[in-house]
Amino acid sequence: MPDQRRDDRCSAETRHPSVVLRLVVRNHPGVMSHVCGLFHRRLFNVDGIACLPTADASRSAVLLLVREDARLEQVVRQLAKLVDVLEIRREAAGDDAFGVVAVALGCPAPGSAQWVSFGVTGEARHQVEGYGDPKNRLGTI
Amino acid sequence: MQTNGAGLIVRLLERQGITTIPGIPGGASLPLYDALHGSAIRHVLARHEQGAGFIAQGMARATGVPAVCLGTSGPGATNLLTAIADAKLDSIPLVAITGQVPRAMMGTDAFQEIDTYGLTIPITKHNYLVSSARELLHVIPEAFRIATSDRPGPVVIDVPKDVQLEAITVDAWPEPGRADPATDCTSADVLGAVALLEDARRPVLLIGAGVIAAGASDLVRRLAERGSIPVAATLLGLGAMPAHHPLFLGMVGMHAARATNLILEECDLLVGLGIRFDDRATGKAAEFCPHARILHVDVDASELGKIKTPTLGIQADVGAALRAFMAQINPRPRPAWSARVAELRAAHRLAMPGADDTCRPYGLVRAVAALAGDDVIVTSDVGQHQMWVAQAFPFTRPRQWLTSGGLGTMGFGLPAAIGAALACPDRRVVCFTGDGSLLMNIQELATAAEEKVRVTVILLDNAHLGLVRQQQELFYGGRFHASRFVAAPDFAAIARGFGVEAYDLATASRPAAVLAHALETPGPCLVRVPIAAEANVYPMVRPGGPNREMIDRDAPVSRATASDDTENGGDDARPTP
Repeated sequence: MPDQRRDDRCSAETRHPSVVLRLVVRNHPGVMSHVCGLFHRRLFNVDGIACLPTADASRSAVLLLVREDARLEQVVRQLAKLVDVLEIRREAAGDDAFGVVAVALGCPAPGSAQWVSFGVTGEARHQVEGYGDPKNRLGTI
Repeated sequence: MQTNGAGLIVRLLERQGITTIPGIPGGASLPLYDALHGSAIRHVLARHEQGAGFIAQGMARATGVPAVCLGTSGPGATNLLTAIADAKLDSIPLVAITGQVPRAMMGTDAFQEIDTYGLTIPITKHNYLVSSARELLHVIPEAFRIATSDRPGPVVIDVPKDVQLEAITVDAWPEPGRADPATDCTSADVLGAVALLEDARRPVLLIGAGVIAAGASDLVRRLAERGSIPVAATLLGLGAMPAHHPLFLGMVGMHAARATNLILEECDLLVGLGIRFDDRATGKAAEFCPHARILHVDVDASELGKIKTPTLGIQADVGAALRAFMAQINPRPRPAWSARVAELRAAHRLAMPGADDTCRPYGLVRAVAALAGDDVIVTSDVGQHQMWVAQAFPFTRPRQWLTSGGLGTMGFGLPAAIGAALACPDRRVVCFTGDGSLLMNIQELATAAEEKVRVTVILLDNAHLGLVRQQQELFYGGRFHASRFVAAPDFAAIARGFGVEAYDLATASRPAAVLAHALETPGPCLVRVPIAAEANVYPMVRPGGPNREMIDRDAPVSRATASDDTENGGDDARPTP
C-alpha cells in the first residue's frame, strides 16, 4: 500500500520520463518558429529547447527536451514532415544534455529533485482514442 | 539572360507550365505584374484575394496540377489566408506568391507590412521569405516539388519588393519542380495487408481524398470487385468510386445513409485508404468500427495512429500499395457478408423526401444531375446544401466533386467553380450554394461575368444559416439565435447587376424548363431556389457522438434526448488548455 500511495503522488512526468531529441535543421531566421509552433499547435509538451549553428553555418542543431509518452512517436512524425528539419535523432545522453544549460540559466537540472516538468498541457489528448469523450470535453465541434 | 527578380519568377512559372494565375495587384507586387505584362500567362483579376485563392484551388482540384495565386503584401496576404488554410486541410497543391515591403522597411510597421511568413507557418506545407533574386532559382522549383510530392499541400513564397526589382543575370535555368517518385510499400507490408484481407470475413474499404490525389480510383474499384468488398467514402473521397457501382455505399459519418454507418459498425476489417479519420467521418473515434481490425494506408506517416491505432499502418502511396496488394489477392466471393450488406442497405436506405420535386433539396440535386450529365463538374459551398449534394448527387469520376472538407469554408463554391471552369473550359461547372455561403464571396460574380465562364450557380436560399439553425433545433432546445437573415437580398437582381443571367424558381411556372435552360447557358448563370427553413439534413450524428446513434427525420424521441444532451454534445464544449 505505501507503494500505491507514492504512485498516486507521482506526477505525470515521472511516469513519462524525459527524452532528448536532437534535430539538424536548415539555419534561417524562421526555422525555430516552425519547430516551436508545431509543439504549440499540436498540444505537445516541450520542457527545454537549445539551438546553435553547426560548424556548417547553413545548418543548426536543436535539442528538444520532451516527455517520453505515448505521443512521442506522433511528435517525431510531425517534426519529420517539416521541410527545414533534416535529421531527427534520439540523444543517448538523455536529460544530461540539458545539465549544462540548466547551470547556465540557474534552473533546476532535468530529473533533479527540484525539477518540475512543463505543466500537463495536452494531458487530455494522451488518450487519443478517447477523442470525443465527454470526460475530456473534446470532439464536440 | 538579363532580368530582375520579378521577371525571374514569371519565367520560372512559365517553365513550370503555369498558364493562368488568379490574383489582385498592389503596391508590393507591382514589379511582378509588370513582368506579367509581357508574359503569355493569363492573369485573372479576382475581386478579393480569398476569391483568387479559391479560383486557384478550383483549378488545382479539378486537374490535380498545382495552381498559383498572387496577392500583395499586408491585406493581400491576410485575405489569402483562408484559401491557403483550406488547401492545407484538404491537401491541395497550391503555390501562393505574395509581395512584401522592401527588406529595408521590414520590421518597421511599414505601410501594408505584415509578417506573412509567420502568419502562414501553421497553414502551409512549407513557406519561404525570399532574400535575394538568385534564391528564386531554387525556391520556385522547390515550392512546386513540395506542393505536389507525397501528400500535396500549399506553399507560400513571400517576395520583398526590392528582391522583385533586383537585377540578375541567369546563365542556366533550373529544371521545373516535379513531384518526387511515389512512396512504395515494403514486401512485409504487402504480406501483412494481404493476410489481413484474406483473413477478413466482413471487410469494408473506406476511401478518402488520398485515393484521388494518388490517381488510384480504378485500383480501388478492382480491389473491391476482386474481394467482394463494399466501399464507403469520406466527403472528399466521393467520385473515386462510381455512385452507381453495386459495391458503393456512399458517404460515411455525420450525414451518411443509416445503412452505411451500420455496415461499418459490423465490419471486422476496415481498410482505410488515403483517409485521416476526420471526426465528421468517424463520429466518436473510440467507438468507430468497434469490431474491426484496421489496415490504414496513407502517404503521410503522421496520419498512421494519429486518431485510431491501426492493426497495420502502411506509409505508402495508395496507388503503389493497391497495385502490390492486387498482385497477391485472389478473387473471393463473400456471400454471407454480401447478403448482410444487402439486407442492411434494403432496410436502411437514405430517405430522400421530395426527390421528385425540383423545388425541394433532393429533387433539385437529382434534377440538376439528370440535366447536367456525367461530364459536369460540381462544386459546393458549406452547409446543408453541401450535405444534400454529397448524399444525392451520383458522382461517377474523381475530380468531379470539389468541396471544402476539412476547413469547411463558406465562400468556397463560387470562386472554386470559376477556377474549375477556367481549367476545364470544355466542361459545364455547377456550383451548389446557400444564401449564407454565396454572400461570403459574392463579389466573384464580377469575375465570372468578366471571364464568361460556364458556371451555373444553383442557390438554395432558405434565408438562414441552415446547418446552424439545424444544430440549434436539435441540440440547443430550439433556441434559434443569429441563424436567420432578416434582410433577405434579391439574389437574382444582384446577379443581374453583376452582368450574370439569373432566374428565380419562386416565380417560374415551369421550374424544370428554367433549370434546363440555365444549364445550357454559355456564360455564367444563377438560379435561385427558395427552400423551406425547416428542411433539415438527415440522418445526423450528434457532434461527438458515435456513428451508430443517428438522429432521423421522424424520431422525436432521439431528438429530445439529443437536445437534453448538451453536457456531452454542446458546441461550447471546447478543449481546455
